[in-house]
Amino acid sequence: MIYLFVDDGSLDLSDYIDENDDSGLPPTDGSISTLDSFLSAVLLPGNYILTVGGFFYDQSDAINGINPGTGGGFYPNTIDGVGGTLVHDHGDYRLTITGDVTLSAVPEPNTALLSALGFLAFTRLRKRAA
Amino acid sequence: MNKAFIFFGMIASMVFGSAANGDSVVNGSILHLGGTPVGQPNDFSGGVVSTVDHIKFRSTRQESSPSTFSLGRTTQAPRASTSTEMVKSRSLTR
Repeated sequence: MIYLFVDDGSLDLSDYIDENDDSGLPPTDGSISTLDSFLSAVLLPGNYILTVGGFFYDQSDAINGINPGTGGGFYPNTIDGVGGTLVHDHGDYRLTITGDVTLSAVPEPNTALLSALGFLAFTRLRKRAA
Repeated sequence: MNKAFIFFGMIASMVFGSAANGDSVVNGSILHLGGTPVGQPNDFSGGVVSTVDHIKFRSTRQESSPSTFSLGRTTQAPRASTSTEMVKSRSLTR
């Protein structure tokens, strides 16, 4: 299930644009079922957030980044479902965005930390050698 | 020192510069934080908690045609037009 929000720096309910649980469309581009989500929106220039989670989570859950699994049942067939079979709501997904958009790079924290430590160690060695 | 800056600049650009115009792909995972363990038979009646990933992006101009957002599985073959892949970082602490 996906939600689309405006990213104004302070995510709240007023930023909501649209949502979709089941596309109902023939599977394409990684989709394997009509239960996979699909959204279409004409966007103004600006920043946005798309949230990805298993069915069902509401707008507040989307904002908080946690699906508490209390929204009238938990039917985990959005990602792993094949032909509507209920299976676990976990696993890898791929989100494909078309349009004139730029993804915000989010580096792995460990990678960024290791890069910073490596840079500090390198500069310290260079100073000692000089 | 200039070589060092160039070297680490290249690394930083690889780490932080995963942005692209046009069709873009984000790979990620929905993770269980509690409840039924991954790989166990279905029992989601106990209020299973899972993550909701936040994918941030920027629309660069006013579009005449709509943007589309398609959710699928990484096990499926990507489209030929897909030019960029980015593995989204995720936090297990939230």
